[in-house]
Amino acid sequence: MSDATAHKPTGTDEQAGGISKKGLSAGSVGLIGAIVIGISCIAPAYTFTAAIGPTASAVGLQVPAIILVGFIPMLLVAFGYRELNRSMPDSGTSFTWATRAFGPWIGWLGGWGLIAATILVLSNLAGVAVDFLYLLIAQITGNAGIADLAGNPFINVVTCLAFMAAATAISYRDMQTTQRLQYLLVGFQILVLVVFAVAAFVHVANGTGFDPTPIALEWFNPFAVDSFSAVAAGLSLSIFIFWGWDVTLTMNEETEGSATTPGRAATLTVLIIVGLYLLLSVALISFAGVGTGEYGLGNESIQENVFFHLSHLVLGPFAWLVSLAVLSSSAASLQSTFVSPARTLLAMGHYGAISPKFARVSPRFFTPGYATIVSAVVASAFYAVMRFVSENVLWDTITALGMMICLYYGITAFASVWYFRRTFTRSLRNFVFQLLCPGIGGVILMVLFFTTIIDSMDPAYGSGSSLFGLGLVFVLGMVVLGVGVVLMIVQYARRPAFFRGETLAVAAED
Amino acid sequence: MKILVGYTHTSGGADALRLGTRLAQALDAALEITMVVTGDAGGLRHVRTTAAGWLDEAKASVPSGVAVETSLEFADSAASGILAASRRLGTTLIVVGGRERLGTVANALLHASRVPVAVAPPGHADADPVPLRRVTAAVGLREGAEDVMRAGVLAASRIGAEFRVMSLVSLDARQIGSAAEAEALAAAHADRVRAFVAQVAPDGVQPAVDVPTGRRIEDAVRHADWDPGDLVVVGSSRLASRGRIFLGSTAGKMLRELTVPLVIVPRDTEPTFDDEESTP
Repeated sequence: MSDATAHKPTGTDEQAGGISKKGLSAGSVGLIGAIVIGISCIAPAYTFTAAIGPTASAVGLQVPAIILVGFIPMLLVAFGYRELNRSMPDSGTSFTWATRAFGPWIGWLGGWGLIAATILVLSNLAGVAVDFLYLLIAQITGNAGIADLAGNPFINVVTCLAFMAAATAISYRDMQTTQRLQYLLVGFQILVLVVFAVAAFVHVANGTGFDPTPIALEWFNPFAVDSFSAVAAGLSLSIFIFWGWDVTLTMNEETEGSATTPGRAATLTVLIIVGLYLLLSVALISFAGVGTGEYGLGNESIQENVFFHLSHLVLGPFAWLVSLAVLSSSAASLQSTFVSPARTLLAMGHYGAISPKFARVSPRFFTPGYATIVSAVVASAFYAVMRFVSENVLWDTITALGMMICLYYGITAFASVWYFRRTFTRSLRNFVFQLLCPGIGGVILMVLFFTTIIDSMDPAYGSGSSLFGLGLVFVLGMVVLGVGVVLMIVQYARRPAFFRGETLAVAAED
Repeated sequence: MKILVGYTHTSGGADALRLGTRLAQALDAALEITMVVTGDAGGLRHVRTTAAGWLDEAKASVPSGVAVETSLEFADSAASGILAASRRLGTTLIVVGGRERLGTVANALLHASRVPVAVAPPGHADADPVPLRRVTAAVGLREGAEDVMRAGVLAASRIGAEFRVMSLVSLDARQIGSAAEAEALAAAHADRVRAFVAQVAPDGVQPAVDVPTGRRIEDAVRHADWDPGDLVVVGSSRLASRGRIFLGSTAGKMLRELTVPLVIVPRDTEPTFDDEESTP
């Protein structure tokens, strides 16, 4: 391992002697724990309820096929992450690895892509939690008016900030309840989703489905989709529905199994999620079909929240369980997503790519306290301001995050290819996991990155708003990227040591 | 003898380190400064390096002449980590800071430890570092008081300090109104304490006896005479299981008011202050 040279010599040799053998495992997150955090971050209940409808509109019955196709680049990239983690376990993930492979500038941008995407999505998760909270209360009390409270911008923002504050406090204190809470929320979420799928199948079998559609192998065939653009649209959606598994790579650096556990957790997380999505999509399509009828998945008026609209048909009196599952899904994700930007900021501060304040560790809770607070403040301010300024800007920014995700996943995949350039010829295993998989995955993500940029120039993209004749999603995506470039140049002026490669040197595995 | 300091890079940790140092100097003991890293982020290299750096700073701040080692412990909670480190290192006294109305860490330790736990009062690090020169055994006239007396006598002789016995009287608890009644009660209680001390004190030990009174226990504590060189020894509540400590309600009230350090000793044990764990 060439890793030792990558770190500033801030520690002393004594520390190693002081760490008890037993303690080595105590400070770590196990495989199951990491998978739980990974699933929590992806938030399958919330993601799926919003994504299944638009996907069905785009590709018809071939939703399972598109899920499989979208899963491929994720799995390929996850293999690259796994290899990089094995060689250089580091909570800075994309930032650290891209810096090691391609140097400080690309590394900084990779880190920016992750930070921008995760911080902005925090505001989205909190916003969704607000909607579902009032929806759930309305459903339980039978008073439909309560759901409209979420539409009041003041109530909405105040509730949202309360969610954000709670999640920040939990992340900052790293309460021991956190993991147990995550197990509970994620377990509940998966249980409800599986029950929902099984209940849907039972209805289909009893002939009480809304639009019973016989399951066919064709559903899994991506070539049965009408057009390539439909496949591409489906792929773009799949970036969102799988995004989040990479949080597992930030969990351990210095513990037993830190070279293997996080990577294994990442691949297992992606596999569990694809299984869950396939089950749900088959269940929903066979139950409701993809038509535009009242409860068809192609009906645009139910697509915002398919689970909610179908829940009373599928689960009857237990319909509220689904809203509770979606609420716990977004709340759990709000909390687990905090881990990502905080730890990347911590690494960037540690290596001098940004202010060393970000490397501050809370002396009481041993968390990246400063980075956590800054992430929370930025996400809260963004949501509060945008909710009043323009909801279109708010949601189009979230859509624009797809570009950031493609960018940092893609950069990381290529970092694997380049960093292992001297070792991938050594064995077939290396060739497949260090070059072939991440290489193909990276190319797919880069293609998606550029096609999304081009598509989003169309004013009709996203909310349909435009600025200077260009789609708002495009403009916002460029603004987020541009802010990153400006900040990078400012940091270059202030902290040239990092940009000269003095704190984190370019290297290759050999 | 080894003393474990449950250290954090906070003012509470500094208080604990100061008390640990004073005790180590007084008892001619070695210091084990332990920092317990909790939570998921404990798996991060940077967090561990930072924690190790804090420990180095703490070690460097201990005056020469005191033997000192440091260690990082990883655990689910600070209290469980301190107890595990204490067992592993064989320390016979644990020292923690008592900031923030005792703090969850001290609180958990004060209801579970098998070895005595010393709590540094808030701001102890900034106080005059006078040598420990008087040990006060705070007793009720109930079962277990002898243990506290013995522990106090032993500590005083090891330190070479004065020894006194204190028994607090709450007037409200006895529904005493007038000053005359209060004085009479205090005098009668002092007599009982003296008789008790004469009965149980080891041969040749003739401690001063102090019976401070106040409306509540807290008031009595404030009215008592304290010296910066004081160390208070209290026993465990009868709720404690044998050989463990459990902070009783009177001791808890004392702890909130005291401006001097307090040591709570386990129930039903022969105090030794030696390297083996005190045996039940």
